Amino acid sequence: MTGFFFGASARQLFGYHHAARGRTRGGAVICPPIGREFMLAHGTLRHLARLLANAGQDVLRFDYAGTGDSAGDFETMTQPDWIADIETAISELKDLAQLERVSLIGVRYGATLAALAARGRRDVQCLVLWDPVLDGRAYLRELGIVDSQMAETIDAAGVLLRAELRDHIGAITPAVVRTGLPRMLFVLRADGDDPVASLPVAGGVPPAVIRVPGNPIWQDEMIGSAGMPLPELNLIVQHLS
Amino acid sequence: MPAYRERVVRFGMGEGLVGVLAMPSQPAAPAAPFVVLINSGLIHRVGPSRLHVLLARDLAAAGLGVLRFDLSGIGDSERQADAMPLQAAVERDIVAALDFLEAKHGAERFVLAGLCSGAYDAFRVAQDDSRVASAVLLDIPGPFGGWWHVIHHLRLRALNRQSWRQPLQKLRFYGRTLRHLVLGGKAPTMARYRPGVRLPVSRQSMGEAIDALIERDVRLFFLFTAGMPGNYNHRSQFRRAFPRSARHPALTHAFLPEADHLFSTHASRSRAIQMVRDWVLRVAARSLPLALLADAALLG
Repeated sequence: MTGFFFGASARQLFGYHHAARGRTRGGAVICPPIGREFMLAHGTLRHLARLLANAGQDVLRFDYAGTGDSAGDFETMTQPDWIADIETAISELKDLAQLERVSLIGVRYGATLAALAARGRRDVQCLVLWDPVLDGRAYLRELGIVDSQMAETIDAAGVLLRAELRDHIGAITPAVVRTGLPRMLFVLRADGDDPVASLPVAGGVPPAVIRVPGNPIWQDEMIGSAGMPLPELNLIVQHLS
Repeated sequence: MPAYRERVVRFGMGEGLVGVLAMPSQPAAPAAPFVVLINSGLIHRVGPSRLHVLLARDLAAAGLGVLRFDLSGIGDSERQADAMPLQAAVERDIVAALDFLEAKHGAERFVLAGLCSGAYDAFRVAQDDSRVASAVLLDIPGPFGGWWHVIHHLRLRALNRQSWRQPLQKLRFYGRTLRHLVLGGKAPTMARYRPGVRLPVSRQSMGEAIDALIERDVRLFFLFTAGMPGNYNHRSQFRRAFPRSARHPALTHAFLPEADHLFSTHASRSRAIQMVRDWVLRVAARSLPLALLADAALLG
């Protein structure tokens, strides 16, 4: 397990490489959520990376620019910036592990970003979307942002959000996940809506949808209060193995 | 050229502790203290809303080396296999961070900083390790209560519209509970009552510890928010709890009523970072040639 900075010198991204145990069977880039959900999900995503590495995957966890340990300020970031960061992380993992293709695992808004980054890429083998943000306007409401807030930057949920980013998030609909990738897995809450069911089948193969019980970790009041969601993590490991 | 550089470091037993070290691009003065930021609860080294990242970069840009790291079992640091009690393990990890900075960077003096449990940990280590020259204690849980705390608590409740709704909410809850017991069905839920912050030390022992630190010429900055009203809800509390220490020039205390416990708003975060930076640079200046400090704020 190695922590390091990578990417352009003016835009250093923080990453953590979990080397595959034994022979490499593939690679995965983990795309975290943002804001409070980033904080709550950190330990779980670290554990997921370890499980995947034990199962023979080379894994790169990383922070988008302006989040976590990476360079930059959150309030200057846009959605295209973070999609570009995922592309940089894909290249980094391919170089590190000498892989032709990698998988993307995204959580919440990170899942949406992963779906957008995977569009048209042949080197993304599999896309795992864990509770993706499929309704941008509802997500903005969760962040406490309403349409009437027209300022250049918006202070919400502990972050200053650029209006451009707010607009991009607000435009997210279920259709953004139609990437045409043959191996897609959705991990969704059992009691949640099912917008995926309304999507046209892409590439002739319907996406796998697995419903998991209970509240997700990013709705915890405190870090670790709900414990590690091992069933969800094991499902993802099995799917990529 | 950026004003600071960051790199990932590993240290401690089996190099199991992970941190990010921010160093000023210009070499720091040999006598400059290093700042060490300690985890707040289970939040990893970036801190709540990146508070630790922003503070570390701010201080590094002003000329100080800053290490923010994860204690064992938190963030990216390994959980140690030993059966050491939690508090002892935390203090061992913090001392390991000081040892690492001393061995690899020649650091001799340190500023420990932390929020909530991190403040408490910093306070404990400052008492035991003579290398600690200063401590920044954000929302430290402590024995700051008293009749003035109760009065302000009642005043805040009276002014809070939400608190007037609670009797009605409670009646509804009891009604639903009765219906659940008689008719079955889904049990009602209600936000659990959260008692005030537990008091890790008595007022006497905390007062003695503060006196001992002042006697050792350790500088202390107590900064409180309104985010833990069970612990602190009025700016006079520290002065009333520790009247003699509060007047000592080695000790600074302040209250940020606009801030919550996790400094969730950008404005409160910026204000806290500015206050901490100015204070740290002032105490650092005691051992530094002023010309080596980049920020003119310390001259004010």
